[in-house]
Amino acid sequence: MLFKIIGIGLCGVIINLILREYKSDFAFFVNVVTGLLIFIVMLDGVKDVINEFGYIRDLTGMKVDVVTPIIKVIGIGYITEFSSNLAEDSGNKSLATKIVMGGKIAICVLAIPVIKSLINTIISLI
Amino acid sequence: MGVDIIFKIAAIGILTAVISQILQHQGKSEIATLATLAGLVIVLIMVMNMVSGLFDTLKSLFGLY
Repeated sequence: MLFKIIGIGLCGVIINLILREYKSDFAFFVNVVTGLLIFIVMLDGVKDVINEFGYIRDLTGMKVDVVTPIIKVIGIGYITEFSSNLAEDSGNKSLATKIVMGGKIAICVLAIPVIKSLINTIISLI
Repeated sequence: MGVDIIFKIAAIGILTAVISQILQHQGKSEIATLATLAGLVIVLIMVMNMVSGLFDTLKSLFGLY
C-alpha cells in the first residue's frame, strides 16, 4: 500500500512541475487530486484501525463516550491538516493558520464531555 | 478512480495552455481567455466532485456529523 502512495505522490509532483512550466493554474488542481487519491488508497487501512478501536473498547469495557471522541478527533485532525496544507500550497499561509485554529476549536468542543466525565469519576473517588 | 485522473487533468491543462497560445498568436486573445476559462471550469467541477466524495467518506468513517 505504501508503494502505491509513493507512486501516486511522485506522479503528482512530476505532473505539477510539467504544468507549472506552462504557467497554467491547473498545477494546484493536480495537487488537490493527488492528495485525494493518496487518502483514498489509505482508506482501508484507516477502516481497520477504527475496527481495532471498537475491539479494544469491547475488550477493556471502556465507556462508549470515551472512545468515539478519540476517533472523531483523528478525523477532524486529518481534515484540517489536509485543507490547511492545500491552502498553504496555493500560497495563502494566513488562511492555513485560520483553518488549523478552527480545527483546534472543534477538537476542544469535542473534548469537553470527556473532561467532564473524568472530573466526575475523580470526585466520586474522593 | 486511479492515477489516470491526474493524467486527465494534466492533459486538460496542457491542452488549454496550447490552445490559448495558438489563439493568441492568431490575434483572438479574448477567445483564448474563454478557452482557458472553460478548461478551468471542467477541471474545477471534476475536482469538486472528488473533494465532496472524500468529505462524505470521512464523515461516514469517523462519525463526524
